[in-house]
Amino acid sequence: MSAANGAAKILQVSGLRMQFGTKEVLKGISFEVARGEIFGFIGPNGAGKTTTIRILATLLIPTGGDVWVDGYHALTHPEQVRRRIGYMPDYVGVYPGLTVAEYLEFFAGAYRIHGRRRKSLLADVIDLTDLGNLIDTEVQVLSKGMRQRLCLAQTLIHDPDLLILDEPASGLDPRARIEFRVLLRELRRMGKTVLLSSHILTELSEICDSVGIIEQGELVAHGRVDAILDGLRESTVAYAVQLLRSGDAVLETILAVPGVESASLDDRMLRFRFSGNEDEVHRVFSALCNRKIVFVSVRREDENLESIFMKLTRGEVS
Amino acid sequence: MLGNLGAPIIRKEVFSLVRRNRWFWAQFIYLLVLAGGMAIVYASNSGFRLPPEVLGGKLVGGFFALQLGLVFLIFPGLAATSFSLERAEKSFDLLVVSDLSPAELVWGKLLGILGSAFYFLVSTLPILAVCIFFGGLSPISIIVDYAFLFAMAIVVTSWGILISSMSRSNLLAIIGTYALAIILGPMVVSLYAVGLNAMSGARGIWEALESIPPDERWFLLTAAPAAILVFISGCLIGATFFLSSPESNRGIPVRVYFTLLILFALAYEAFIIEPLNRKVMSPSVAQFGSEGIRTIWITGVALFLLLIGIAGARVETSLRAVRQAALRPMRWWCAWPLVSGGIRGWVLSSVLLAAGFFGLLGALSESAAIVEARTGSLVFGKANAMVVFAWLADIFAAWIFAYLGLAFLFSTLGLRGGINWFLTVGVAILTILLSIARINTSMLLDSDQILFSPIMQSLMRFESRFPLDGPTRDGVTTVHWILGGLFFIGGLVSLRVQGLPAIRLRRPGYEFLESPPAPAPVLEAASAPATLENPSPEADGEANRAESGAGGTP
Repeated sequence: MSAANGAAKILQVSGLRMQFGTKEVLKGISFEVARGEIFGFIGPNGAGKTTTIRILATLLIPTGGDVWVDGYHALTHPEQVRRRIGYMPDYVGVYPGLTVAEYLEFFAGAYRIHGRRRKSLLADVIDLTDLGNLIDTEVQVLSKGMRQRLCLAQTLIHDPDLLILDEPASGLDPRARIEFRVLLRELRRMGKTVLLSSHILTELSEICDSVGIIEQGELVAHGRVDAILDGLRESTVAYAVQLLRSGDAVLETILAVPGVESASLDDRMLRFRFSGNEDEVHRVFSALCNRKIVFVSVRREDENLESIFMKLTRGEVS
Repeated sequence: MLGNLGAPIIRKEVFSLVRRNRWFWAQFIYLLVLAGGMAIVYASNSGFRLPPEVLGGKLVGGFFALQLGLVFLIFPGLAATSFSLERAEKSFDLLVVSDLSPAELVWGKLLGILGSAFYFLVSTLPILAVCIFFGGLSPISIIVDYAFLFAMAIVVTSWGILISSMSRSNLLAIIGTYALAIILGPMVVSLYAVGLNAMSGARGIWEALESIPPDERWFLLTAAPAAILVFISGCLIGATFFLSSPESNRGIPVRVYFTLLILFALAYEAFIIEPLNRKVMSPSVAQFGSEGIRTIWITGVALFLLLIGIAGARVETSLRAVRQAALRPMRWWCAWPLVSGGIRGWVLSSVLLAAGFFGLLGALSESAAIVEARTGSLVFGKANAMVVFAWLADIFAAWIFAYLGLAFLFSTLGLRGGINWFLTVGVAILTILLSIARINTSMLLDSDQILFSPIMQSLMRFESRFPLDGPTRDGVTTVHWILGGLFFIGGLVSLRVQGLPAIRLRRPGYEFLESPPAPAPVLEAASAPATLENPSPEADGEANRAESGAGGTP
């Protein structure tokens, strides 16, 4: 009976405010998440990510603002919202003494999933998270990566449309991170919407369709990653040139080329910004060749999520 | 009405408790302590050349006393961390977002812990069997003792669950639970001992009970079960309340359950207390006792109704109180006890438990007063202290009754301004004055029968300067009944709070959108300017509100 079933936006957040005592943690953030996308929620520690996520998961009541999940208001219809979300906190203690299968069975029971549906869902979830060979293992002996998988499996047990994952990859080793990213892509392929928070930008930049950047309780940017990149991309392009040997004439030569805005030389690494078209940049390298300055490699330094983040945030907590 | 009684939780609790290594060690130590204790009991009695049946009786008495001690030692530890540990480990969040209701969580924890702990009690049966071989025991007495043991296990576990449900720290939960067990445990055991001795006709300090006709003694036997029932149900409803998320509307089973409990309380008053009062010999003393116990019951009923209103109905009511309270500081005072969480939860529960504590002491004092009226001798050795406690209970109950109840009622009715504070405090003071007046009257009436300590005598001299006589006393009784009736009706009204359409979950100044906003501007690749939107929160929210207008909820 959701009014917005099938609507493009599965999550709508409007003017969300939260105050703990006199401290204003969220200052009216608004964003939307489209159905089927992976939305990255980025911000430094203490920016308000977890508070926002706990409000979205109906665990906190905001001081102001509105949250809709699939058309249901999180404050007036929390139970409807809970059926549509899978929530994974940043840290979860598992119940000692239970095996992986019993742990998942417990949550299946907690979501009132019984009979054949339970069997089928459990099998699917175990298969998806690749926990099949661990089902009889006691949960307390699982590695951090496996625990995260188990927790994700628990999040998926009732087949929610929207997954809300708070720092899901924190504490994982590189291999586990990569596996986790693969898992998230698989979930997107299955049509799930994922909202995940992190302060590790490389892991988000590769999988997120959209991002929201939060600092001091304010959303300083949000939207599709490529749109944000375009928005921030400057008119100049940065290049890094590895020289064979350093020399005093290098900077003088390159700054004399029309279109070079700035240049710096650090040992044998030359960096410069060029404001002309790409087909004009060859003038720079011709000039270097003419002065017998030998270079061994050239690299264009694009904007990425990390540089955007650094530009937009000051690293202050609210 | 309680779902599947928290079946998934029960299974999880049993597995995660029993599969730990320390569980087996705990059980081993339990049996070792019990066996050692029994050996000491045997050794201390065997030198007296007692007949086997007497020795058997002493051994079984020692067995149950030791078991009871161990119940008080072990069960609080098991129950105290039931929810606080989940909170600390953040697994509680996962339970909240699941389909399990707070009532299922509470029942699941209770039954899970009891199910696990059941083995503790059953594993001692071989030791009991050795005692029974000595003879001289009735199977009924053993069954009754075991029933009491199990009942106390449930009571202690309920205390632990209540404290745990409102504690964020494991340490606090453990300290609180053990403190409760130490303070309240002996009281319940005393009630049980009084009732049992009254029925068995044992001599000693209970000799005075023999003066009560046998057909009236069963009243004393009901005191312990009543206290146990009140504790268990009160703790479970309290825990359910503290675990309910603010927007919870899962309270219907809880309300039904407690409505039944209230009916039981009223029936207890009508069919047990009142007929007994009419039979006792000394009208004045009996009147004193019946006044006390009537206050206790009415207060209990009112408090339970308040709990029903708070836990059962949507908590919009109390949030509404907060909203009102936020307007003026004094109104915050009125609403303060109604809001759960942190120190408020502690204070609220402390007040409720203290009311129960004093109330039960008042009930004890009534027993003492009745027996004194018959025998002219003191029953509990220091009946004066009990009488003082009864008076304190009256005053305390009256205060809680007026303050908490009226704060709830006024905030529910939405009374605003200074009248709220004035009425709350005013009626509280009035009720306290009337209670003092009644106590004063009772003291004057009973001063020839009850021995007063010097302190009490000086108090009496002080209070006798302001004598209030009969009519006032009747008036006080009437006030109690009127207030009781008022709050009974208030509680019944609170059952309907969920249906009140205008009350919504809002905080002060909370503007509430009834439908999703129109699509917010989202940065797209083509959108220009390609700056990062840095939305002014208020402006954004307001813009959305303006766009959305008033729509229907999904």
